[in-house]
Amino acid sequence: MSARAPWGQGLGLLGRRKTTEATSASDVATVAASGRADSDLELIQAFQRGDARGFDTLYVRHLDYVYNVCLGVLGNPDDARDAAQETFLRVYRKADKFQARAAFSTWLYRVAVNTCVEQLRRRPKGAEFSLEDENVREIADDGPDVGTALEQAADEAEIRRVVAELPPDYRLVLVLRYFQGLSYEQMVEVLGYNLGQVKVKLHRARRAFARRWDERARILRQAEGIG
Amino acid sequence: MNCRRAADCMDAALDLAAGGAPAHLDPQVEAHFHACTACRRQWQVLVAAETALRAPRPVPAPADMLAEFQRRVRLEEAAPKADPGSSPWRWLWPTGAVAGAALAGFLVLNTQMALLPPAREVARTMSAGTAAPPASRAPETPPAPGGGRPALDAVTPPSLERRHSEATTAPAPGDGLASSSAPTADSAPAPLSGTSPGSSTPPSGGSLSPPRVGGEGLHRHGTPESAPPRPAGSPHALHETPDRETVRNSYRAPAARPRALQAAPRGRMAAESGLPPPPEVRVPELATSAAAGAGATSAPAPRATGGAGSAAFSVPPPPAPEPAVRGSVSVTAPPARKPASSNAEVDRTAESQLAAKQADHLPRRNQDAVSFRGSPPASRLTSAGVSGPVLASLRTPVALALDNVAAPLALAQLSEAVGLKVDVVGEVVLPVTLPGGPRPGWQALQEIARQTQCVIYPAETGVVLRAMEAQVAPLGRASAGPSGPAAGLGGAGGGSQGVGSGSPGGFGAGGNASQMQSRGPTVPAGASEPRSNQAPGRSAPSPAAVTAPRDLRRMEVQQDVGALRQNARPADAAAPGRSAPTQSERRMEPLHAAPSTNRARSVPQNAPLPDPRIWASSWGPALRSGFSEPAAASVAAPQIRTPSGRGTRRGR
Repeated sequence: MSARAPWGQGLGLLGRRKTTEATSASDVATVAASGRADSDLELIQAFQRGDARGFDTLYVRHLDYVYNVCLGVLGNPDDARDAAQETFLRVYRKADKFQARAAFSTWLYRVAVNTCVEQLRRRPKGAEFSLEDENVREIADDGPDVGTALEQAADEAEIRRVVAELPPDYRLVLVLRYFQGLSYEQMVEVLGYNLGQVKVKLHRARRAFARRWDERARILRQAEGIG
Repeated sequence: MNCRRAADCMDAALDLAAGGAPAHLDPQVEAHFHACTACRRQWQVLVAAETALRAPRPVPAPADMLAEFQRRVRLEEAAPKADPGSSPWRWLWPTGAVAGAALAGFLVLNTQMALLPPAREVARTMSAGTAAPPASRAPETPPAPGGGRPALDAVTPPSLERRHSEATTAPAPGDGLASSSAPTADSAPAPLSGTSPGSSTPPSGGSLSPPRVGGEGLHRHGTPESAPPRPAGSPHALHETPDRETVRNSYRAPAARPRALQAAPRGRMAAESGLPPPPEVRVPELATSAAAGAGATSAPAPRATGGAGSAAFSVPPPPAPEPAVRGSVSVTAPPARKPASSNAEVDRTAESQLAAKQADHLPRRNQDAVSFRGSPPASRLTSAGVSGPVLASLRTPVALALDNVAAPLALAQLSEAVGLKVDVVGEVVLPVTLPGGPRPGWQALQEIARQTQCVIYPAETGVVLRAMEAQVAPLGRASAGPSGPAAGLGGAGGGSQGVGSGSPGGFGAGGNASQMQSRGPTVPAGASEPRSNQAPGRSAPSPAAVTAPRDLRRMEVQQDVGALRQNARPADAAAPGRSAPTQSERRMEPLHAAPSTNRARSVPQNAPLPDPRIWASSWGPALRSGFSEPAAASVAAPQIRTPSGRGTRRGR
């Protein structure tokens, strides 16, 4: 990492997109299109050789994914933001130690999961989840039907809230399985469990979420009946 | 199908669902759902939860995360990286380890040194040339500057013990001078342990320091050899002829001491003393040979043959342009060739050179015999004051057949045969004849001593063979001698030529009425007279240097001894060109440590001096133990004696 270039030089492309209000899908697509030909392994190896642009591409490519993992586990956009930044900083510091034994994304998710777990340990209990208006607005901006989008965003926020109320290990397996769509094998690599442990945890997490989600629906039905 | 089996099938269906709700269930499970309301309800809940979990879409990351990430990376790279090795705590463990190791090493070293101090003391005594017993030495001098071992030696328990014993005893006549001069001498940094500036031998520790026997204070101002070694408790400390030359022949194995160190101090001492060259250098044979063997590295110093005592300090020594070797000779000295300074030296060099050569080729058995580490400490000396190795060497049977052999050669052979270190003080030049046949070493030594008119003193690492002439102490040399019962008892304890000293009217200031009492020169029949006094052409001592009554007595003694010497060895009697010592030489003669109070008290002051021929050997019984030798042998030549003080103290 001695040949690591200054971050500003490496983020030249991303610096131009900094002016945008949000990392839109088009920017990500532009970056992805410019480096799509390069796999994560090639990018990280290029970064290890001193090419900072490789890490820029990796950052853009996996930012949303890491952010969603953090958001799904932590349930708080601010915490998810901090966790995502911390995840990439750790990867940035330890990129020279990456030996390509697994996929870069797997390593990145694992770093993200560990970062989230550390934040969960530091977090005081009772502040598990907070749905902010920012996420609702962004989600709402994407949908053409405002009513449907708001309802959908509310449901998603409610789902995340319920997931955030679960124990951390249940959260992890549910987020990785349902929010990120990882397979059992990928979950094994990311979580460090064996396949049986992953299945058991996912079974228990699913039932726990189902109970809570059913309880919430029952309460909503009772409220609607009363109203 | 039971409910448990139905639950397993539901989980499997949920796992197989690829997005959205699970497709379908097994018909048996569906049949069970119709029969079991709870399972059907459970399945509905799971399907709803599965649907809800798959509903959330990925949330895009905030836009400013890139800028924030960029800022954090820049801050991180700009900030100095915390070097984990720069923590001050990282030195805690290495420092602790080093400190522990140092402490352990110190403890081990201290323990070892505490166990071996006597050996080192012996080593220092041995290296001092003529091994004088520690009891007769002045208070120990501080170590050489920069020398670590001497400092540790100085604090070793035995040293402290000896100091304590010396301090507790009342000062003897010579002690006062020695102690008075010791502080000044101690403050002098280099003269004793160092070497002359021109010497190539660096100063060393105590083991290599030049001789400091018999009054170290004087050694610092004069030549080291100016103070002939005195055995422990020697009653003759003050009975030194003022103009007496003390020749010290150390029959030791070669390289027992570094050659440069043997001669270098002389040059330095000579340079410091500033003595003018003697009017006419008269060197005995052994001295000449040793001087010739001193080597180019040595700067022979003129030996001060003047008086001893504090008067020597008051006279500023004049410079010595060309020091002449007179006196101390170590056979182990390198046989460097030095041109003889006079014809007399040339005349007497042959024999000594031969002795030196032979001694130079001697094996180092003597060194082994006096192995410092192997020698027992002083506390384990026998009651006679003889260490175990010396005792063993003396008990060693030896078969020497000598026929009119020079004494140095005889002693060298004996030393080689029994592995004993023999230091010779004085002129021992008489021929020796020993009949063949095995005999114990001590008996052979006694015979040699008898024939050479010498007295044997035990030392911790060997024996000291002192010529009878060296027993004659200068008169009136008890200057600054302390008053005490032992003052003036130079001949006490069996001194042969003991003459009263410490007279108030003499040079010394100490002494009392009893000290003025002349001991009477019980001169043995075979006592030798120093040739230096009888040498033709040598002038008599100046009147100012002697006190009439005592000097008369001394001169009588010397004449008697000289007559005996000349009769015994007329060829060596004449030393042409030898002049009498000047007054300054007399003053430079060392004043040796006087016997301690305890030792002096053991002998009544008015007790008649025993004949040196029949001096009882306090360690004779120890030597004879285990021997089946005729008793007459020890009676016929009972010249082996030991300072009575040590044995007396030990006997208590």
